[in-house]
Amino acid sequence: MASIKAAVELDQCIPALRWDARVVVEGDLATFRIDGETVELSGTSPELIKTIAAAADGTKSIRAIADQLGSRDHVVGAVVKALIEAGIAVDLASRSDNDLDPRQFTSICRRLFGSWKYRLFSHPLWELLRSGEATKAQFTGWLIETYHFIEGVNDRLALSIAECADHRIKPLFIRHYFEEYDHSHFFISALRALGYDAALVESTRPLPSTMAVLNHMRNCARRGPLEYAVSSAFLESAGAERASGLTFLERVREHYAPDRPRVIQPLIEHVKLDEAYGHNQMLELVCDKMPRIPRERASEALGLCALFIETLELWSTDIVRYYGAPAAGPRIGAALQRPLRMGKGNGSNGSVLR
Amino acid sequence: MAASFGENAKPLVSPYVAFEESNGDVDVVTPDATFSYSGFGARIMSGLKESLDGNNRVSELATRIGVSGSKINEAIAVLAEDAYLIDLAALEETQSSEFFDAYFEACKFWAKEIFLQPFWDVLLSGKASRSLILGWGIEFFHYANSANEHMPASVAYCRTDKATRRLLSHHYLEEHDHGEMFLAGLEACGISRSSVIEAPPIASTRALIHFLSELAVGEPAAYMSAFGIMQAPTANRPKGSFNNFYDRLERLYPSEKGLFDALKKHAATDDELGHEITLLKRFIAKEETINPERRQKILDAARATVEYFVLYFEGILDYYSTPGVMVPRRALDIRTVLQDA
Repeated sequence: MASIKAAVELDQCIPALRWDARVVVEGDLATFRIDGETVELSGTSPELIKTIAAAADGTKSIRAIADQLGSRDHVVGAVVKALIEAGIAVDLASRSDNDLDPRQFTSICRRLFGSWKYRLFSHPLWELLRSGEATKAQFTGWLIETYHFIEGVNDRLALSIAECADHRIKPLFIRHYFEEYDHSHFFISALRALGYDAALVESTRPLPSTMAVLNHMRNCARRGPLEYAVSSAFLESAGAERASGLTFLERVREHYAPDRPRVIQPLIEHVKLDEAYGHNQMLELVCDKMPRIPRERASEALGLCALFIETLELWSTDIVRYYGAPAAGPRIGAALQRPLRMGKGNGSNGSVLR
Repeated sequence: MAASFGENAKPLVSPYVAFEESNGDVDVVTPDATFSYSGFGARIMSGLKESLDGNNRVSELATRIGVSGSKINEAIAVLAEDAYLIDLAALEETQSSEFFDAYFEACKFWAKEIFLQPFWDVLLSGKASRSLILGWGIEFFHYANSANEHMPASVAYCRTDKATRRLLSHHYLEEHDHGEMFLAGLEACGISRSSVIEAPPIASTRALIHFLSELAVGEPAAYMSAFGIMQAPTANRPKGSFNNFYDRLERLYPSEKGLFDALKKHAATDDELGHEITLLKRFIAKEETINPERRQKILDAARATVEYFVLYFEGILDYYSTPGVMVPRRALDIRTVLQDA
C-alpha cells in the first residue's frame, strides 16, 4: 500500500489508473467501478477526483498532474493515495520494469480470467438462454453462430501454426489443432436434430461479429505465439468450467429441446471431450518454453485478451439483436438486408465513412 | 444515376419503406420523404406493395396487376432515385460497365442502413454526451488510421498485375496520413495525441479494421468493393455538400468545434482527391466482361462492409454511452495488475 507523505514523493510517485476503471460522478461522490466492485470517494469535489483520475496515465508525477490541472499538490496527492489504496490506481515508480517470469505472467492471466469469465457470462445472451426467455430463433441462431465459431478453429489455430516461428511452441499448437480441427461436427449433429441439414448449416453466413471473433484470433496469430496463446487460453478456460457448462446445457435442453435429447447431447459430449484433452493448460505449456517475457509484450498480449473479451461480448450482443429481430432466421444466401433496430433516419453525411 | 426498370428488371424495395393505404390513396413512406399516389398510380402501388421483393420481373408484375411495364417503371422510379429500390436482375449483368453501374446503385441502397442507425438520431438530437462525441472522434481516428494496416496489405498481397498494384499503391499514398487531421481535431478538444494513439479501439472498430485487412489479402476486386460502400453515399453530390452537416453539429455541440472542423477538413480532402471514381470501376474496366464468381465476391464484400459499419456505429453508441467510461480508453499496462500476483 502506498503512502503519500513526504514532499519528495510528489515527484517520485507516477500514478496510473487501471485500464478498466470507470468513474461516475453523482452528487458529492465519485464512484469507481472495477472488476465488478464499487468504490466511492468523497472529501473534495467529485469532478476534481474524476479529473485527477483521468490525468493519472502513468506518465506524470503527482506534482506534474497538480501543475497540469492547476490544483494544489497535497489535494492531488491525497486523491492519488486514496485511488492507490482502493486498488484503482498503482504507483508505477514502485513497480519493477523487469521482464516477467512466465509463471508470474500465467498467474496474472488466470486471476484476470476469473473476473473476465464472470463478466462475459453475465451478458444477457446467457441469461436469456438459461431462463428460456430467448426466442427459438435466438436459440437456433446461437447454435448456428457457435457452429461457425467452432469451425473457425481452421481459421485461427491453423494460422497460428503457420505463423509460429518458435520451434519449441509450434508442436504444441499442432497437437492442439489435431485434437480440435473437426469439433464443429458436434454442432452439425445438434442442428440436424433440430431439423437443419448439414449442407444448409454450412451454407449460412456467419454474423459479422462471429467473424470478428475469428479475425481477432487471426490477428493474434500473426502477432506471435504468446499473443495467440493468451486469448486462446481464455477460450479454453471458459470451456473448462465443466460443471457449470453441463448445468447450463441441461437448462437449455429443458427449454428448447425437452423431447429431443439429440439436440443437446452432442454439446454435452463436446464439453466432456474438451475437458479430457486438458487444453486448459496450454498457456502454461507455451509460457514454459519462454525463459522471460518482456513487460511490454506481456502487456500487449494481455491487452489483446482484454479486447477479445469485448469482442466476445460484441458477439453475444449481436446474436441477441440479430436473431431477436422479427422474422430473423438462418442467414442463407445473399441476405440483402439486416433486420436490425432502426433509427428515424434523420440523416447524416456520407463523408463519415471515408 | 437511377436505374430504368425494363420488362426483365427484378425490383427490390428497401425494408425501410412503408406502404400506407387510405381511401384509395397510397402513401409510400421512406425515412427521407413521403410519396403520395392517387388514382391510377395508387392502384399500381397497391398492387406492387407485397411483390417488390426481387423475385418478380416487371413483366410478371405488369401482367398480375394489369398495367404496362412502362407504367410500373414510372411509378417506382422515384424510389430508385432515392436509392430505396434496386434492380436485382441488373446485378447479374455480365458486361463490366453495366455490372459496375448496378453494383454502385446497390451500394447506395445498402448503405442506407448505416445511416439509419440509432447513433445518428442521438448525435443529431443535440443530446449526445461529450463522451460519445469524443469517442466517435477517437474511433473515427482509428478507422481512418487503419489505412496503414489494410491498404499496404492490399498492395503487398496483390498478385494480379502491376497496374492493379499501382492503383492500390496510389490509393494508399493518398490516404496514409489522414489520421493526422483527427488527432489535430481531438487535440483542439483537449485530448492529447499520444493518449488517442495509445487508446485501444473498441471491439467493433477493431472488427471493421480486421475485416478490411482480411479482405485486403484476398481477391483485389472484393477488397475494392468495400470502398464502393464508403463512396456511394456521397456520389454525385456537389463538392462541399457535407458542410451543412458539420455546421449543424458545431451549433449543437460548440465545445467540440475543433473536432468537427477536423472532420470537415477531412471530408474536403477526400472531395479533392476525387474518390468517387472508385478503384473497382477502374479495375473491372480492364476487361469487357465479368465472371459470376468475381461478381459474387464483389457483392458479398459490399454487403458485408455494410454489416461491419452497422456494428461499428452500434459499438460506438453502446460503449461511449456507458456511464463512467474513460475517454480516451487506456491500454492495459501489466504493471497495474502485478500487485496481487
